[in-house]
Amino acid sequence: MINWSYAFKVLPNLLRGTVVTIQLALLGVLAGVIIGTIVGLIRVNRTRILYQLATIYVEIIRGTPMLVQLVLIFYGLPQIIGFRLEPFTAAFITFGLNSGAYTSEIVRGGIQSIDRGQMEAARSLGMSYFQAMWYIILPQAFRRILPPLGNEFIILLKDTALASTVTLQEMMRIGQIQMARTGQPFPIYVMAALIYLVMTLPLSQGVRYLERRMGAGDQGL
Amino acid sequence: MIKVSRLYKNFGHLEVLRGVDAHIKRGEVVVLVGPSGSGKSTFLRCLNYLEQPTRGEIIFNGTLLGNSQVNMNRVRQEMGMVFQQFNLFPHMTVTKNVALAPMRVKGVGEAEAVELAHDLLGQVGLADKVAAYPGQLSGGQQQRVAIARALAMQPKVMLFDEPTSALDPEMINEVLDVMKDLAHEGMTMVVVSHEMGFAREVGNRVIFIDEGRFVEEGTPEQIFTNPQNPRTQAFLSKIL
Amino acid sequence: MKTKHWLALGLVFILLVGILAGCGGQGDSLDAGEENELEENGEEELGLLEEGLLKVAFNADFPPFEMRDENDELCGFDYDLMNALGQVMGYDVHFDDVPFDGIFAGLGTAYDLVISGVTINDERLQTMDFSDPYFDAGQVIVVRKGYEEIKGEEDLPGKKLGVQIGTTGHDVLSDMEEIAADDILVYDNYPLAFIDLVNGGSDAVICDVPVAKTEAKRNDKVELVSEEPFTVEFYGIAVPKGNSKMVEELNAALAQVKEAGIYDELLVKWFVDYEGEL
Repeated sequence: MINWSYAFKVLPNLLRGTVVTIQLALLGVLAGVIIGTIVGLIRVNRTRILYQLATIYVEIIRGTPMLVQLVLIFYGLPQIIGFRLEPFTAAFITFGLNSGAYTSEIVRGGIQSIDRGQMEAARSLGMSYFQAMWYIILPQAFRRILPPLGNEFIILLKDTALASTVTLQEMMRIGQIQMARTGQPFPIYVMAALIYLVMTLPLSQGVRYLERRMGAGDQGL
Repeated sequence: MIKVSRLYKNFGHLEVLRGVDAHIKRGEVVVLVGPSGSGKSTFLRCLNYLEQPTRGEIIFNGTLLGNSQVNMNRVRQEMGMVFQQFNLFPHMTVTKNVALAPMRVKGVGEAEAVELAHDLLGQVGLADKVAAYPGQLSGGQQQRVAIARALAMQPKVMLFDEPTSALDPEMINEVLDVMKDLAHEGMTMVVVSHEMGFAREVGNRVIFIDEGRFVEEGTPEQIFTNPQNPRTQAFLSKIL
Repeated sequence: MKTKHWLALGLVFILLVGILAGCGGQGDSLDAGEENELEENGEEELGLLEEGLLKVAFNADFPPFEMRDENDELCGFDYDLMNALGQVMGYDVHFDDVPFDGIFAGLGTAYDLVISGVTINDERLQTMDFSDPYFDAGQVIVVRKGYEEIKGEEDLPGKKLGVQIGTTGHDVLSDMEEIAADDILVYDNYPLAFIDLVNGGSDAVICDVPVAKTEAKRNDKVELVSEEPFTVEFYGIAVPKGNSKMVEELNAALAQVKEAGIYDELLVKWFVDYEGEL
């Protein structure tokens, strides 16, 4: 059923695309962790104006499909701001904003799961709010958010296929171009699925390993 | 050292403290007793502003707290606090728990902070546990670490919020012994506790608090053996 | 439970597709009188390999002209068009799937016709005859209005060029060796390609004439460099050299299929509604 010799012939092309895929996913999740931590902290702290802005941001991103955001940012935004973003930049912004919104909820949940006595103990020692967050709350929260963060990265990695919409030649788009020229979709889809699996399986294993390892130093919980 | 006047604290519509006055002098050990919900823990937590008072004044070492000019982080460095649930940092070794605040808040060098931590842990009888994580210790040991952690900031006053309530009976004394040592060394202490033995031995004053008011105060002897107020009598008859 | 739902959904989908396809087939049938007329015009002269049967070859690897669907059945624009022509001419049509590089070797010996997106060119005209062109695959260049740097095909190398994935335009650019692969911007569809052209992401969009004219009509920010395609590419049906009777019959049938509106229906089916195997 699957034409394996053809599938292996397209493999080098697909792998060329995985470079873009991995770059996008890594940068996206990195931006996501930074944005997500800041927004998550804002949403825990509840300073009024910032809290409302953060909430609006999270709701807009979570409430609309990423494909729509991507098209609006890449194709629509230039008509407002007057200049066009490079495809990779547009994709990076979209993935970063998306990952940031989801990560902020993960971070918020992680922070709120830490006993408030931890914050009180830290403050009673004279630490500022941010010192307490940085040294006491976030390190503990990080252990708890690591597994959902790993899942978020895996989802992001697969979502990078959407970047083809802004002409980025990531793996799926290269596959589609091949299909269009040869009319043989299945070998390419099977090959693409295998490549995604090769990327995601070690990731989920790695997350599990980290969970176990960090759990060992966290026996008070 | 601490002067409290007309202190009120509401949680929503609930009045927890209803105009409390107190004066805690240097070197004094004050023990607060009272039924649960009486406001004794809230009073303690208002002293270092873990709870913001609704109304009233707290003057600590001549400084009026709650003023926007006052850096509460600095004030809290001078008020150590020990919690019922210990609240040790579970992701750090015992040494790091004690050394962290001196390093990060006071800017003490790591080597010096670690040495300080080891000294204090030795004082509370945990010299052999310096490398342990809190999760590896018993409740009594954890509470002693918590005391060492608070002492590391060299506070002028120590606040104890029911420090032995969460402990198994056989571990209570090891913590009380550490507290007694502290008292004998002249530390100013405000202790929320029902440990009569402790209060009799080192307490200078016992305050009975009920429904957000200080009902009666006096020496441990006066309060425990000859309470004047019927509410004090009723409460003591239940716990004695 | 879940699996069952999916199965049911799949079944419904397959049935639906089947029904729709069936309807299409019936809609294509022509007046019986016309069919007979054509038949009487002498089938002997066509020199068919098998009486009453048009044997046709194509290489089912050129979507959407000829390919295999998810059930491995032959389909495509050429497939539908050839069936319509056969119906008009009064013959059953039999398709052979033959590799393209050897397809003309069997013309006249193994099959009567080749319809496989075959471009009519001088070279081929020396060894075979062709029906009238049945598809204009010529490409035009669309640019932002007032953009002066592209006057024709020769200006394309070094510019950023937009195409819709899998179109003739995409193929044409991919086959032009002087154009770097990185300069070809591949979009999901032409509307997005035109937006990015206006936004300045590309310097030109390469597409079929009708696509270009439609866009230029509704979007005053773009214009065609020229209405004349820069690729002359007409597809024709290849006929054994010298079989003028066959050419004549095919052309008559083609005219009739166009007149009956079937040709336009097929254009819509395969080039507008059809999204490709993506």
